[in-house]
Amino acid sequence: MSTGAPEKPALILVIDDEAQIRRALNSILGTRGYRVVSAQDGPQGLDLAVEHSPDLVVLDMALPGMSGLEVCRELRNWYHAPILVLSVRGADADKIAALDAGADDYVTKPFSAGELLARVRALLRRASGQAAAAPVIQVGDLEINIAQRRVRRGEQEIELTRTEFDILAYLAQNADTVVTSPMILEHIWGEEYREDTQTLRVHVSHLRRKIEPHPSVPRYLLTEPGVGYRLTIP
Amino acid sequence: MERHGYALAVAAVAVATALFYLGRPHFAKGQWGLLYLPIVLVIAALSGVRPALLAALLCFLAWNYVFIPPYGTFIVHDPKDWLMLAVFLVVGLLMGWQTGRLRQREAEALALQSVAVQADALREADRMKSTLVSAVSHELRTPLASLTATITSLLEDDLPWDEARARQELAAIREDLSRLGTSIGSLLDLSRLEASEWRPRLEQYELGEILGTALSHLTPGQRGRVSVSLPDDLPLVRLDFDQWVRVFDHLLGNALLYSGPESPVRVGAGFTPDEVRLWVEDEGPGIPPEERDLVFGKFYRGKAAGLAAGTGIGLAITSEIVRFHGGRIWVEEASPRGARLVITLPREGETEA
Repeated sequence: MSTGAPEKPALILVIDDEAQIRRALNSILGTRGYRVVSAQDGPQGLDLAVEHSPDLVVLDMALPGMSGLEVCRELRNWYHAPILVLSVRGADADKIAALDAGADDYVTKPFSAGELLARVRALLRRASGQAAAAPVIQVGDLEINIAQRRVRRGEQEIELTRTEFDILAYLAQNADTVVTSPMILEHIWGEEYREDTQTLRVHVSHLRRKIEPHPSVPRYLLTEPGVGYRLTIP
Repeated sequence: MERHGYALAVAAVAVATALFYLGRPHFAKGQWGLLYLPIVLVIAALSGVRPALLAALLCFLAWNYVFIPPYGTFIVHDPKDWLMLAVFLVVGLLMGWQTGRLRQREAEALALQSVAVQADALREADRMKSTLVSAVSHELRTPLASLTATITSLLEDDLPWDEARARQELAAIREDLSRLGTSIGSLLDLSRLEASEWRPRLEQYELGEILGTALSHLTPGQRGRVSVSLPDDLPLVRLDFDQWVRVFDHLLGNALLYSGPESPVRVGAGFTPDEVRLWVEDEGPGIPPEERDLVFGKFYRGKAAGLAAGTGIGLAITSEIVRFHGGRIWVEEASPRGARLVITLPREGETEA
């Protein structure tokens, strides 16, 4: 998977009221070749979104005046590119509300540059449709062959049930991005199973036993408490 | 309050008079006074002096109007009736006054007592707050000082820029920052727990998922010291994910901090039909028996802790979270040496409200 700067630099809109965070994001994203425009509150952010139609929006949840959640809802009326939300530790309800309002993923402050860049890259990749089309996806030492429905670690073939493979493939196609439990359930079993998180948990537990180097302490297939799962590419 | 008392007095006398009226043929006219007196007493006890005086007056009038001939008037013919009514009024008023005053005095005493209790609690909170402030300012100032020193040294242009040195300094900066973040996070947790604003959100999880998240918070060097062995068939547990990540953060952090820099830390778990048991053990100096309960108190740092960092609130937060989940936590001696922190969690995951 390419980790360098994209060919045509993506334009990212940052909406955050704190100057330090705007400066840090500008520097982290700008030096990686992204073009950055930034706004210090919701209304200004919405104006800039209309003016530039950015490839991705980084949105702080705790904005003065118009809240991040409101901005997210407003944007989603017409804007279809990814929204990455910045939240603070302990504000789980905020994260869930943001995802419900149409955000695609979140990072918790304080975040590292690596974390932020991984999320941005993953969201841009997904939005470009590359990930869904890739026949083979590499996750660490796992090679997931979507076309042939096979998973290998090095030379070793890993036997998965049909459901386990479907879960893994879906997570891999959204690698490094949070995938909610209802999304997975709907994708694999259909809409009427959206609430059946207990079943999903059992399948994930079995899947971990097969794909994790140390199943009792997962490193790839991580739990996002109260939300769902994230397959990370180490 | 007082207005309710008056309404109560009027209502009580009206209801009683209506009931008594049904019995008018069976009792002598003088006996009604005795039946009215308990009403005054009850109103005095419930509502205080003034409603009781009103009740006494109303009883006097009702008795006169309904039960003293000629009925339906306030006119009294018989001088003996006059005497009876006068005595009733005086006794009723006195009784209402005395009982009501007694009640008021009791209420005052109670209020005073609760003020004293409140004052105690405030003093305690105040003392906690100043301990907190000093622990916090130490805990925040130390990494801040170290950060300032490191960064100003990097910015100083007396030495040629050296990539290797800069990387090393930056790694140190990152460690200081993560220490700062942890301290601030713990303080936030503590205040949310104390204000009961951190309600656990219970769901079924694998312990390993939680432990994995906690391990990802450690530096690679620290992670290398931790060995984990969980049984494959360990049942799912019902708990709040974030809170238990914090439990493992504190247990691992303490074990790593209070044992030698190369010394191993082991995490294990087991289960019975009723509970899941997990433990974290180190090979440090251990915790002497007399300190084993104290370590769960706020700001308590073991005597052997010496200069090791820590606000001393980690285990207080941990034991509070464990209690929320209906579990238990205690310290044991590890073998051959060191401390073992043991936590049990009920399998059904009942929680305390």
